[in-house]
Amino acid sequence: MALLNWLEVVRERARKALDKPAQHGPDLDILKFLNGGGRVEEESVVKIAERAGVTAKAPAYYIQADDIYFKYLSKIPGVEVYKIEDFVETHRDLVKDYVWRLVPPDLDKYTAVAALRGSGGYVIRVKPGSKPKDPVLACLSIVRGGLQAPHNIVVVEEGAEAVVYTGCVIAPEAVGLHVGISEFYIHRGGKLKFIMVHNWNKAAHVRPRTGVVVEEGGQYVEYYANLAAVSTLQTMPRIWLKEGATAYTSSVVLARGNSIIDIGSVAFLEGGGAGAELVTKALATEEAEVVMRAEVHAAAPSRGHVECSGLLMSEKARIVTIPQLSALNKEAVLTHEASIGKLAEDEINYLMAKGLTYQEAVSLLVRGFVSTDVYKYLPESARRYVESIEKLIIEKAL
Amino acid sequence: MLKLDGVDLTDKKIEERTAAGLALAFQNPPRLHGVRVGTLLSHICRKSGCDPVEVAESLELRHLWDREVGRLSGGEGKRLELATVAAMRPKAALIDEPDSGVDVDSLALVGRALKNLLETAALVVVTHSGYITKYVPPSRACVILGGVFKKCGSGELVEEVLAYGFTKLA
Repeated sequence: MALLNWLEVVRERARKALDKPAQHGPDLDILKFLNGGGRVEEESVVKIAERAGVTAKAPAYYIQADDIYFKYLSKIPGVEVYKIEDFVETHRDLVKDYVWRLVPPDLDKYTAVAALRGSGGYVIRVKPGSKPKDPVLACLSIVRGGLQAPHNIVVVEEGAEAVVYTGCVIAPEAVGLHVGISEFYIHRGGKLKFIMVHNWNKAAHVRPRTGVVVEEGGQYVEYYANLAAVSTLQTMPRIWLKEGATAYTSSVVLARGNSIIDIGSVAFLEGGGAGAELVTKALATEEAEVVMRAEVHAAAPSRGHVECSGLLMSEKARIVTIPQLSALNKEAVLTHEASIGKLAEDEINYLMAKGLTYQEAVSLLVRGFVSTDVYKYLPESARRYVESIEKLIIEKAL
Repeated sequence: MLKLDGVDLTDKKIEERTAAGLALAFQNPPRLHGVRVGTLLSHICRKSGCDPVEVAESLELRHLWDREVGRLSGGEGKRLELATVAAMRPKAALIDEPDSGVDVDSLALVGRALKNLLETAALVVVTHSGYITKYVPPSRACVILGGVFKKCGSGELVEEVLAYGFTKLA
């Protein structure tokens, strides 16, 4: 009864927010995306998932295409993978703790439509103390087009550790709206390393909504990369950090074509000794427009650092950075750095004086720009994965 | 005028000078944001055929392999600058103030690296303090004041400068 009441409350709140625009980013008419239609062939789903580096041969995976194809499994002891509807059905006692707790269903019209029309999404649950070596792989793809609104939940229980890779892709010809709802719960002493790669097309609109809570002594590490042109993309994950909890997020955004991208994250330092470092890097090419936001709000003795760096790679590209710090505790130490510019001529000339060609010098400097300190927090296999993503970004940027 | 092996490089572009075998050690290299020591040396060695690990070890930079170039200390940066020149395997190199802003240990390392480099390349070393000459005694020295060559002579000229100062000699 409590479950039904809670989900009814969610739906009721959502209904009231269906016309509520998001705080940032271009407004969309979501009605245009409500009729995806058509069939999905398994072969095309497998192919598109492979593009995202996800295969059903992995020991733990979740593959979803639009809102009609789902395949998932976990052979890793201590790790459970569900489709959210199955989780809701089989874990009724946990629904109120984990579903729509960190992302309000009435945040805006996108969360509202996800709450009312969303389908699928993964639930990954890592049992207390489990530290699997293998990552859990997930692929969320839009094959036919239309609305895709999966609801993803990751629960890392006390003392557990997990690495999750998520690839989000779209078929080249599809027109779609992706509203991925993600809620990550990292319990006391738990660690989650989350790597997400977006590979959209120039007709795609993307509005992910993410909430993360890190309990006492836990750690959240995120690496996000956008590799392809997208029509519009707006996201602003929110992270709550309790006592001694830390978060490091690193986003590398390649903005191509006429992409309009508004990306950022917010950290709430609620517990003493909490720490957050939010790094966003954007490479804007052609006529792309990027807004980078980053906010840290400290209510306890804690540390926060924000870095927004933009690299303009064409005359018509535009980048805006909006870092924001707020300290509500005198023991909080908050810093930010922001920079926007083109590649420095003196650095190119220096490298050419060392024998590199112009192209090699530019490539090395772009590689330097996209590299972040996320390596320090990742296991070896994840480092290699991030390295391969960085190479792709450089290739596409040049 | 700048000539190497009889070829006039005065008006040549930077890449043409490099291709001819000329290297330059910068006094204040740019920070190269995000570029790591190992990556930089590997890129240079890919051209010249050297072993980047060997080059890094020769200047005690191996432990800084994954460090960003822009985050090196003054002495480490100087050693890396010399390492980039050594990695190029040049015929001749202009070394701009290798002894400025370095501690005595780094200076000894830089000196040793220059001595090794001297076995295969001609060196022109610019110094304001002359400290580096303790490790690499010059075969010829010139005093430049106000951008003009005031006096040239054997390596002993350095000792005179150190004893009497630049202005008295000029």
